[in-house]
Amino acid sequence: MLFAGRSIPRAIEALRDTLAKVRPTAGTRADAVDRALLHLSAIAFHHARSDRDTPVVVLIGGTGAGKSTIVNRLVGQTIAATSFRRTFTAGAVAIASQVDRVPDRFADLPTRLLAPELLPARGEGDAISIALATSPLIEKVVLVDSPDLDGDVPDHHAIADRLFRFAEAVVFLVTPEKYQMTELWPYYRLAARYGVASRFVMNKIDDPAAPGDYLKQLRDAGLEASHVFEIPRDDATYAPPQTASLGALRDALASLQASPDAKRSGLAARAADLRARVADQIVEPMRADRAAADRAIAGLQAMLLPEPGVDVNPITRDLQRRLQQRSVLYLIGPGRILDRVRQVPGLLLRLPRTAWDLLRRGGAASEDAIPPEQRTLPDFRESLIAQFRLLHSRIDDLLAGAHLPAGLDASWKLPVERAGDVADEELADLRTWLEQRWNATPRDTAALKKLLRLLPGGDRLLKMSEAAPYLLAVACAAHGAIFGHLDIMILGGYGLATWLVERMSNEVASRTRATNRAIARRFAQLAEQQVNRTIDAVRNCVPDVRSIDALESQANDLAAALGGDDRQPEGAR
Amino acid sequence: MTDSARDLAEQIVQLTGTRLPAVLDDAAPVLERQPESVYFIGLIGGKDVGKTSLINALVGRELSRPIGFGEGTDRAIAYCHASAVESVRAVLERVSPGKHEIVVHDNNALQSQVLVDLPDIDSRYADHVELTRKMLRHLLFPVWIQSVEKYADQQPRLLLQRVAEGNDPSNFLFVLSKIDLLAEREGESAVAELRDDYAARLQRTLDLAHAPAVFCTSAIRTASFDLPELTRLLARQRDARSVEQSQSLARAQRDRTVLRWIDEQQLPDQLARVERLIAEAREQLTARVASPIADGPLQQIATSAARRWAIVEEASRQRLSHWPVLRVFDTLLVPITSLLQKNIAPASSAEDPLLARSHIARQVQSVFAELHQTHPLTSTLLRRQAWWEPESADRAAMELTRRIDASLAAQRAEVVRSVARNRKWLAPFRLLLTAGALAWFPIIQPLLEIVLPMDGLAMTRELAWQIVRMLGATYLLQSVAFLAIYFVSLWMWVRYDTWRSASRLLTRLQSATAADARTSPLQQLIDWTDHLLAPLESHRDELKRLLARVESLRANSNGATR
Repeated sequence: MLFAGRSIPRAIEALRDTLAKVRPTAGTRADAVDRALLHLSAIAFHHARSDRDTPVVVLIGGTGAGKSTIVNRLVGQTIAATSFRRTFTAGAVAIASQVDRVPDRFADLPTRLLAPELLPARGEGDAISIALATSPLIEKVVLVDSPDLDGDVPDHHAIADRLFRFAEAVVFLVTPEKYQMTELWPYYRLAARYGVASRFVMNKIDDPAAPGDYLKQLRDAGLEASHVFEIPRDDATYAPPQTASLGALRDALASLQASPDAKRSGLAARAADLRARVADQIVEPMRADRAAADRAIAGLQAMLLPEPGVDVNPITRDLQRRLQQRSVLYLIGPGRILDRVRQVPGLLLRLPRTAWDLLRRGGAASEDAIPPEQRTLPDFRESLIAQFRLLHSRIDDLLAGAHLPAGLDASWKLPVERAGDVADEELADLRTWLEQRWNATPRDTAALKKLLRLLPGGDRLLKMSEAAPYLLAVACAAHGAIFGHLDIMILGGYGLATWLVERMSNEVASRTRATNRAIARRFAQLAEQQVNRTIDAVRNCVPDVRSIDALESQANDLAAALGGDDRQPEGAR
Repeated sequence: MTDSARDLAEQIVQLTGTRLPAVLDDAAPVLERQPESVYFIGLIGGKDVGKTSLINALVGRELSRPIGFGEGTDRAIAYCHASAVESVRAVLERVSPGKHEIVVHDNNALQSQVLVDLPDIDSRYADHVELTRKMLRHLLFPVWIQSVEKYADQQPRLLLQRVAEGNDPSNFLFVLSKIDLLAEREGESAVAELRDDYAARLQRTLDLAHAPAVFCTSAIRTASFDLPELTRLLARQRDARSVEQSQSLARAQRDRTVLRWIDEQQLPDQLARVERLIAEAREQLTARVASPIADGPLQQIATSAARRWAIVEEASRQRLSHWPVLRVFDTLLVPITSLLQKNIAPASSAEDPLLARSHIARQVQSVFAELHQTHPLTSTLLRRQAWWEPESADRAAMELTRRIDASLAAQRAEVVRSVARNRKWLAPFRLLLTAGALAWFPIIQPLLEIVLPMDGLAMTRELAWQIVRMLGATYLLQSVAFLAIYFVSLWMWVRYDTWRSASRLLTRLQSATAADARTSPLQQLIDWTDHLLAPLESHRDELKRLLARVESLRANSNGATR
């Protein structure tokens, strides 16, 4: 018991912290959390109250039930402002003999002491107005006048509900016109369930049968009501029996005795209801949100990332061609011969046209139809940006279909320019390299030059290199066979070797491949970064599983500590 | 008119996926069509506000006993003329089977007016509330009654709001009952103050320009306050025209509610957004796909000599096939013509990169990916097409290349068809020019030269001599050489003629003003853009159509109000 007594405040604090942690900034979930926090405060309040404290009695009723009037008549002074206009009282007015009798942060609202000249008071929505009075009843209890519960000002209902949650005793006030309305009935049941002493009062009676019917309806609904206090209408001739009069009500309130059993079981019921409320209105929806978020995350993780689809080959093609033509191996290889041979018929057939051009324009058209600088290059930046936008579109569509709770803004999006920057940086690298290499000697040629320089007359040999295959072919053909039938193999081997070595030593192709790979790699990294960022955003827009589980277990702990474990929760308002 | 409002609202729901307004809910306490002969006046109010007392006071006799506590009135009690009993019963049977009473009077002045007492709207008895809500679908003139105790309650206020969505506030009467209680306690000035307070609350609830009139009544002091005036008002039957007017007012109110809901849907904004999207999409597609293709490859194709040559070649071949001898001649010359074609007009070696499918696909994808990011509408309207996905964009590109190829093929077929048309009536002429020449020059003409100027034996000898000469090698060589020259000229003329007319036709077909979309690649390019944007445009057209209908509905409802 000692242990339980100390652990309950800790359980309350823990639950309060967790609730504050999982509270989203706005929306229905935030409202649910706020209500749960209020109910938790009520539990903390009731748990902390001792038997020596002055009990707080709240008057609850609909518009025009005469709450303020009855308060005044109970106290014997005009403290609460009354009017025949409805929804006149706007906030709680607490009447106490001393200021400190009103509990601190009662109903989770600040308190405000009213100067005597401000009386009678209508109350204010966001505070408890305290009025000091001296009367035998007020020595025993603190009386709180509340706004209406059923009027056309919804804010009033919220205040009345708040006060009810913190009340230690309740006076339910009805009139013959209103006792059958729906609004008060849930509160009757809650008061009984929470062990809050309730007194039922019917005001403005003119037909003596009405209170009897009220009592019958209360009992039919399974409520323990010994009797209904009866207050006749001002002009009515009816006089209630002594045991049900206003004086009797005053005595009943003055002699309120909190029963420890009722308080304990009431706290247990409150904790059980809070647990049910947390489970139904917070944990379950948040679990659903969490599941949706997890599905979205799984979808994001499994998402097909777009390929950059960029090939920088068009940029390097010219240099490749140029380096090839500067390569000795190409000049002495079969490629050159084949190129030449391929050009022969064309040259022959174009002869008339070339001649005509020569005659008419004084010069032949160039072989290369499109000069290199006019060749249209694809916009790599644009195409990478487009691919990155595609990624954004895919994520957008996925998130739109994931039914996530509100609260996920577009801040997860990385600027698309970053994809463009990848292309720009890599291409700038490539371009500087191309410029450096434009007048360079191909690697194979450089190596060959070094070799040939060791031979006498090597430089001259180099210049003759293009003739080498022809000479070799002529030698083979003219001589019949130098090495017999091996000639063909020698020619073939020579061709294959030069062609392959030239291909392999062409550094442009490998550099092109490297750039393509670098762009693809960096784009993939960027896409992955984007996806991870989105995953983080989705993950953070819903409380994590651990907080939700903690919330549930803390609500359960609190219910267990207060003994509300075995109680069936009741549908609370 | 109301049906058209409902229909319109349903179409908007279909288009935008929102929910129907509450006023069109089948269970809403909203006025239905009335039976023609009678109209209902009903008392709507909270528990124990004195509805039954008021109705008794109004008709001057006790329809039922007022009960001050307990369950109270649990049924609808109609007070109507004997002649209207049948139609009233039909309505009550439908609304509250078994829970109604009809009290008959024989005041002929009130033949078509039916006064109905109803259960409360705010108690724990759910069937009371339900019955009154159902009955509200038939009450053209609800009388809202609240007591001085309860006039600020929220439940009647919420119900009044719902009902006012489908009925005009000018058809309502507002009664503040049990005013005697207040008058006795607080004096007459409090009556006026409370009346104003209630009227102000009603004005807020109904969002009216002026506070409505409130009748303060007391069932005990029937002669004082506003009860006599209310009785007078309700004892006068409304004529058919004023009832009709009230009904049309109610309908107009309902239409206004629907229109307000439609305004909340912000259709013009949606339309503007779609239009902006379409304009931007078209601009982007034109700038990044259509224009480069139209200015580049299509221009090249139009001026390409190779293509022209190929078309002329096919046309000439078909045309020459109608010429008897030239047909053979042409076949023999195929190697020479193809050699000529290869060199005079070499086909461009590589396909234009702008027309490459992958290039178009990338452009389409990038255009739509950008739109997807800048216009959220794109995602929903083009959900099925999804041109921003690589596969879809590739499909779009394929569609474009297919269209262009098809149009070029159609162009070619059109030229070949019209140039190489077989003119049958010229067949004898063609026969004469070819087979005729073959017979005439080597045989008939030399023989006739001999036969015509001479006769007798000399001619026979000369003839035989000529025949012998004709079968000689020299003569045959001469004839063949001459015929070769003749047929080559003829062949060249036919080809030249074909080339000329084909070129002329091609130029005409390729001009932008070509009438036939099938043979114009430019037109195909435009059509393709339309094809990509078709879902957007159909959405826009649908919105436009709905907006036009909204406008006509608004005009109608304004007309009705006036």
